[in-house]
Amino acid sequence: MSFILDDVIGGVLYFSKKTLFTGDPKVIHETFYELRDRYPLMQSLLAFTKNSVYPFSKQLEETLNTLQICRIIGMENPDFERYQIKSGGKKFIGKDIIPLFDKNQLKQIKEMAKVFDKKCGQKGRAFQS
Amino acid sequence: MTKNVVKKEELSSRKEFEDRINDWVTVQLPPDLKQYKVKDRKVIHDSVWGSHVFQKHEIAVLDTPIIQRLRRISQTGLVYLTFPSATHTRFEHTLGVCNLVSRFVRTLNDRRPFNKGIIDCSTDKGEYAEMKMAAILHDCGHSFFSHASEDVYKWHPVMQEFLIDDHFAHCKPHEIISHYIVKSKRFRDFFDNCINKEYKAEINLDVVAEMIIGRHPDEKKTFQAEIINGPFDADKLDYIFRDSFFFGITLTMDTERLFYTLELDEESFDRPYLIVRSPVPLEQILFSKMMLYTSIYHHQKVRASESMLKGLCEYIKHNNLKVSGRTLEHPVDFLYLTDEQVLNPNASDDKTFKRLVNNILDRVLLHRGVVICKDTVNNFEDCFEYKLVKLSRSSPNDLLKLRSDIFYAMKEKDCILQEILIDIPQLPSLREAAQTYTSVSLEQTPELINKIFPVDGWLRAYGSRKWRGHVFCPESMQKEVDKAARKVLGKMNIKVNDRSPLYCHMN
Repeated sequence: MSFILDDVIGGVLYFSKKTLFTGDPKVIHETFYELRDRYPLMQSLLAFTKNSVYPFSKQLEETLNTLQICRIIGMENPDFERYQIKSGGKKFIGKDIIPLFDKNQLKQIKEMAKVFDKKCGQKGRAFQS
Repeated sequence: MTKNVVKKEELSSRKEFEDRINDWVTVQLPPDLKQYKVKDRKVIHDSVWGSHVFQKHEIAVLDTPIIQRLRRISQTGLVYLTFPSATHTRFEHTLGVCNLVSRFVRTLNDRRPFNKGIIDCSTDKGEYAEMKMAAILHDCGHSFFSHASEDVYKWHPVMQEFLIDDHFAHCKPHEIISHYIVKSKRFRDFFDNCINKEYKAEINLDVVAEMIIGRHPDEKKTFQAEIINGPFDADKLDYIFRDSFFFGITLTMDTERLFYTLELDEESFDRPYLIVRSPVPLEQILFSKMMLYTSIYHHQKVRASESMLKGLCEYIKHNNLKVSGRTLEHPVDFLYLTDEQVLNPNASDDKTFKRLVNNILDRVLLHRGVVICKDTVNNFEDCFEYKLVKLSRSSPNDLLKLRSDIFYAMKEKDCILQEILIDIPQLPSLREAAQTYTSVSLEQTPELINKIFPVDGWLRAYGSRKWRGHVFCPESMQKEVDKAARKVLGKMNIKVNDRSPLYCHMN
């Protein structure tokens, strides 16, 4: 099976060096808007509306929902201000998702992960296993 | 470079799409269509919002076959099979949206000094007239059973191309179709001659078409389009209120307070932006939306009946059947059919088609063969849901393969493949929380709702705890499907346990 947006975002989270990232949708959407323009891997997967005060992608929102249903990421109760990339989630991505990509695609994903860490990554202790 | 150079192949499939829409509009509005002249304004009474005055040219458009067909399209698909009073149609919803648009405009204008309203309120030309026309036409692109059929044709390559085009970024497939109906040559000819000329109106259809997809040619007037298609638009307010009313679900939504606190902020952003000065009504609306999803739209019988409709469409397509004279190859084919034309056993001579249709009509609904959730899967720590959710998000062919594997693993088969259906629900979009600004006082800079209170995080957690995937099948096949599905899903490392039959109410 070929990859979809959920796999690419999963790959970015896998190569992220942070466990926590911001729950602020403005920061997340703006980051991936920049990544969409810079990396060919993203260009046929994401569309953004610029009608809102910040560029917003329905596909990205659905992917974040999916990753949360599947317990690859979680939000901290009760503040719901940050996401955590769960260790079980990373293990799953490494085993089932990363093999979908070729060398060039993995290179792009690793570069995107660095940008993602810089813009969205947060310090702090993991709150869920 | 930002998005998408439209490729040559995409251009030709869009041209074909536009031509097909124009052909459909020509069938609905033939050149010799006789329309009586509307002599006066009319008051139409609505059970949810009360009475509303429609102008002559608006009545003339409401009276066209394009809008009248919405009386034969259920607003909530097949929900009425589970919630019997949910019999409201797209037509009433359209009238309700018009009423609310009027209320939005009155509210915004009332905030301004006399005679210096924000929106030009002439009834037959200019901004307000265009907004009302966009409200009338916003759902003209729906086909039978509304979102149930949309879930089928959205997978067509031409719709998939639109959905990754920034211009249509947050649009649903039916909104794109409505947009192109309004822009079609035949509709423009009809509107120019039979509406603008006849009633001395001056409505710009380009503006109307853009508003339907939440845009405006003048960026400074985008807030007007957002009243039609935005985070907290008239469409959403009407369907949440109307659906809960007809479902018989009591929800708390203080629309009076919402309108009381609605304002246009012309200073804090780079363009005028609608904000609501109190987060309370917005939070109520979001909770209400979530309640509707968990109680109604994601109810297992509602999902079963909609899966049956998808199975019927698949059967029609795979067997090249014609239903009421139409195939279902292209998204525009769906426009030709309304609810009663599809759920008509005489629409085709095929015996299996008749049986599938009669099962829906007589409420012989599919049952749960397998329930997939944290409680019914042993190895839940392995993120099992991902594989299934991915299948449902990549294309229907991927789910079809899994269904076929389950079907052919069944030792006894007293049904067809189109009666073994996998339902993987998605959480509702909660973009409202991430895109709507509010503030708790006049002095405070507006902030996004979810910065003041992270409603979307709470709601997403609530939704994911209640998430259930299903394999639906005829009641007589429950045990066979349970055995076969466990075997097939086991090969995907999804280990269904003995609690699944309990969830399915199997003996």
